[in-house]
Amino acid sequence: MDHGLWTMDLGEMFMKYIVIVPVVAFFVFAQVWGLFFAPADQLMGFVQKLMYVHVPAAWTSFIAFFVVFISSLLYLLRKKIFWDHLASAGAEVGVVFTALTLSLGSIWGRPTWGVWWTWDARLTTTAILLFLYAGYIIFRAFIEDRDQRAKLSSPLGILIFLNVPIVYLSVKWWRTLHQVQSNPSTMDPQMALSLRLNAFAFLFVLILFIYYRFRLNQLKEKIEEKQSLPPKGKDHRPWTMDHGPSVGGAI
Amino acid sequence: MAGVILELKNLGHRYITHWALANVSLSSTAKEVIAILGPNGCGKSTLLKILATRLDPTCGEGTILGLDLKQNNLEIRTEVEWLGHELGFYKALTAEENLKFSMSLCGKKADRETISEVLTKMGIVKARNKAVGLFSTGMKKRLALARILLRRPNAILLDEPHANLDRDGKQLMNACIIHWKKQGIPVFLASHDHSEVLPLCDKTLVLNHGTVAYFGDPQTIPPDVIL
Amino acid sequence: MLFYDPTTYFIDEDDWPMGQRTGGGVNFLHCLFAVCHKDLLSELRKREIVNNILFFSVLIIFIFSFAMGTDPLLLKRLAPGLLWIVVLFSAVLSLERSFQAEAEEGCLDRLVLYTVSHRAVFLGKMVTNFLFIVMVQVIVLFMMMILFDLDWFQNPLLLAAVIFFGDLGIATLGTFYSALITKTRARQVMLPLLLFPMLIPLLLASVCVTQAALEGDVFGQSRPWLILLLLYDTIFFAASLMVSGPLMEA
Repeated sequence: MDHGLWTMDLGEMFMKYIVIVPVVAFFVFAQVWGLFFAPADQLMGFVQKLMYVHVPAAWTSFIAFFVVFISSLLYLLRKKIFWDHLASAGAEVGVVFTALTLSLGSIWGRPTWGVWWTWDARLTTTAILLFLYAGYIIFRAFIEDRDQRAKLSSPLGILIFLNVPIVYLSVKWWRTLHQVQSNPSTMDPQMALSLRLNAFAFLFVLILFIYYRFRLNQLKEKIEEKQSLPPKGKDHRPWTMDHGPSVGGAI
Repeated sequence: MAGVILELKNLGHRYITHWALANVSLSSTAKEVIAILGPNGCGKSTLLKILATRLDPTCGEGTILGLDLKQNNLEIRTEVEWLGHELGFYKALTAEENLKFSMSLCGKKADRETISEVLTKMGIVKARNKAVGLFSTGMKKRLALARILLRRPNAILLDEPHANLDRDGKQLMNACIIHWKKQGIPVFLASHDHSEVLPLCDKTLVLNHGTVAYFGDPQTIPPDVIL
Repeated sequence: MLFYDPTTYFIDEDDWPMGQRTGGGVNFLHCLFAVCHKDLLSELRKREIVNNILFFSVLIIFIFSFAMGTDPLLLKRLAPGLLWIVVLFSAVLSLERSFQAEAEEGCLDRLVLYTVSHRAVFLGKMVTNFLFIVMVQVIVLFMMMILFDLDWFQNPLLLAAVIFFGDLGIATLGTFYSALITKTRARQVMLPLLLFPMLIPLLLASVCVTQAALEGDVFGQSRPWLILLLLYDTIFFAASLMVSGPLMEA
């Protein structure tokens, strides 16, 4: 199928113009707003604007991990591979956003507190989340059989998420024993608006990313199926991988 | 449900990109010995594993002893015994302890006398207190037969039963199979050695690259079918 | 035999001895005790825990002491943390071995195919892992008391409680993860990689409570941690038991 500019099919056109372009435009708009139209912070100055990306990234990664949890649960209940693909997509995107959160938090911490890393409760929890979900992805990478991978990673996805609130609680308590600085909690309404804009922008980007990773997983599955045509009926020639799909007529 | 022992409809199993089994359909109503033959890699072990509910079929459906393979797999496991290439014994435990453990997993009782009798019949009673790690493969196979006898299932699946057995061992295996047939327990054998198995069986299923090449009387196997 | 002794049963039929005919449900506890008994018997024969893992954990304490210097007060302060680090690493070694023996001989298939109750097998494994971890920990604690002059008369009940609940958590999640990775290719690396992040809350809580038990807890600071530990154990015990069915099936 020739994908010249004039021969795109309807689905792709829809995705390109009605979904991707507005989402990207909105994201850019939110960044511009945060950078130029939101007021600068009294204490921290321009650096504070990193919060507009750091906090929504944290929120969206959490949403992604929640998606992993629900999908794993649904896979165990429904046994449809659709849910496993969604869980995998959610984990991958979640890890990316978590890494973003951590690096931005670190960059923000340096001019503010003078250190690259503080054992701040939220930051530490985020680091642990990164380990947990990166472990989930690595675990999946070691299993080749699709069904076994789904059956083994869904209990894992469920248990990991159950640990998230406990980790946050325990790290918070642990921190109060060590008395480290706390985050500023009050916010100017103008800043809150900027934050909200960014939060929505990140949410849309998250949905888009998860959708594309999910589609990728589904397409990989389809390719595997197409590559493995079973021989038809009794009158067949011996089938090997070398012959590929051209033996005995395609499905 | 008397009558249908085995019924398979379009059973297929795909492992990543390779179809180990495809379009397997057959049905059998008599409690007899069915031999599954075919060259290496044609899907005999896969079929037995699916019948034992150790694997889930990718497509198709089937019932064994009237129980559905997908829905009633827990019930099938209490009725059916499967013996694969790996016999599943603990190397550190003695023969007797292994048998006792297997029986307690199944929920059956086995006292010393019963175990002694079974081991005597299998010819390994002298090794009852030896660790299984020291057994030869032939002895382990005899121990596996003892385990099946103790467990007394309603159907038996054997994967390459004559492998690793000496002449006495093969005779013992054949005697066991004939005994089970007399008891009315259906036995499914998979073997690549048709000369051993053809005299024993009542029906033959020949697989070729995962599909059914022939199913029926062993006397009338068409000459072009590769065994 | 350690605990389990089957009762007598008479045989029937020809000259072929046969077991009992099919019928009768499988007793959950029966199965559980059988798995425990089998594991403990294996360990008695092979003595892997006693020979290798115990020795390893005591060695680590010495190495740590050499690395951290000779200040006895510092070592005493670091003792709770060290105790739990050593237990974590020893637990990983013993957990790996727990399912490895099954996977070697294809016994895992048999465990799944013979029993109707996967939870009984899972619980049985968990109980034996728990017993081994507790054994290692008690001996390590004893060694540390001698080496670092720790004071266990302060609050032995709290100490016993933290050892019990902490090891229960490690055993629960450890058994879950070792069952999970038995089927994958890279076994040695995966278990600590997956297990340790999950055990962080347990580590924090256990170290805090152990510190309180050894040094005295005037402000009752350890109480919320103990409650957290109990909550953690309950949640993961329930969750891993619930998913152990589909897990063993895979």
